[in-house]
Amino acid sequence: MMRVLYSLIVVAIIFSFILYDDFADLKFRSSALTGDILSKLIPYGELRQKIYELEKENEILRAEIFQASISSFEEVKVYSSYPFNSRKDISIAGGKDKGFREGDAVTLDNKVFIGKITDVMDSLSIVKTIYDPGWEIAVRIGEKEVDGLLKGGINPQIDFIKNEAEIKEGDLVVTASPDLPYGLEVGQIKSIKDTPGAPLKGAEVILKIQLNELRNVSVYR
Amino acid sequence: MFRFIASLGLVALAALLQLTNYAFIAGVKPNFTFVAILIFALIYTDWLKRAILIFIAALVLKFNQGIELENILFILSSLMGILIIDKLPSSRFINSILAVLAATLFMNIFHFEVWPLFKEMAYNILIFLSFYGIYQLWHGVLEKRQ
Repeated sequence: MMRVLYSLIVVAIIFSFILYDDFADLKFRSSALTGDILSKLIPYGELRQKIYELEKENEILRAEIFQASISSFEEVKVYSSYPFNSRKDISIAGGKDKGFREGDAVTLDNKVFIGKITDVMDSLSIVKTIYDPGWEIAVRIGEKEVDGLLKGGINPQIDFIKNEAEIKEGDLVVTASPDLPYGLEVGQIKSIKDTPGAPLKGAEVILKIQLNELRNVSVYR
Repeated sequence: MFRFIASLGLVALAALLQLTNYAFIAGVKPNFTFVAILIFALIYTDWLKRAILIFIAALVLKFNQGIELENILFILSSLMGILIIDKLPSSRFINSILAVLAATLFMNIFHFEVWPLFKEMAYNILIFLSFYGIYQLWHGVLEKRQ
């Protein structure tokens, strides 16, 4: 009798795999709730949240100095992040119901670049973030707008910078990809890798907002 | 039956925790769910119960629509871990440590980055040792009662 019951449970689970879309929203909401409960349990959780808010504000002000872009946007909650280390995707609370589309840029207050929507469901979307190791986008560096190719990951870096180009540590890196809004802040130059005699150089980049600190994002439309 | 339902709940909770941003430790997420499954595999020897635990975890951890490679790797690595615990000639504790290492390596087989992999292995071992300690304490309490 018990084995029949267990077999039925297995069948129900496999069936739910097939009907995945029907309860993905419930699952990600539960995950967000688990996160909220954890934030209350973790010591100094509220203080950490305030530090995050200040860091976020700082990044937005920096981006405003570089390029004043004021447009209407709505913040959406970050539900969860990819459970394994092979990818750095996040799920956000908004999908077809909010008019999101695949390819929309996801930002912090429409100023700091986070990633791009890759999958849209009824009330949630999956976002591939710049922290993903497979991510590559064209960027411009500093006030002289030097071209480069940014490769994402835990230690993101920029390749294909012309050797004679003038860049320095602390220079702002902004998006310059044709499929993304121009001038969204990506990060800052951490160090420059200059090989004598080579026609091109590289640079390491610091992404100021860390993936584990993301709570709310906005979709650039 | 009650104990198994509680175990299902704990595995689902571990998977939900793994989905949150709070699971990151220095940019790397430990695999809480997989470790929880290995601990429950020490308790339940019935493969049907083990399969239910693995599928529940895989279902909660499924992130995108359609078939996901990482999800299949998770199921296979959990099965591989349990087989290592059952089949290797050494003690179950040593086998479990080997199972954690081998399955973490297998999970990252298509995405091999040395430093993050070492960090994940270390976190998984530490979590396993903590869970194993709790399990042994609980087991000791049960034996004393009997």
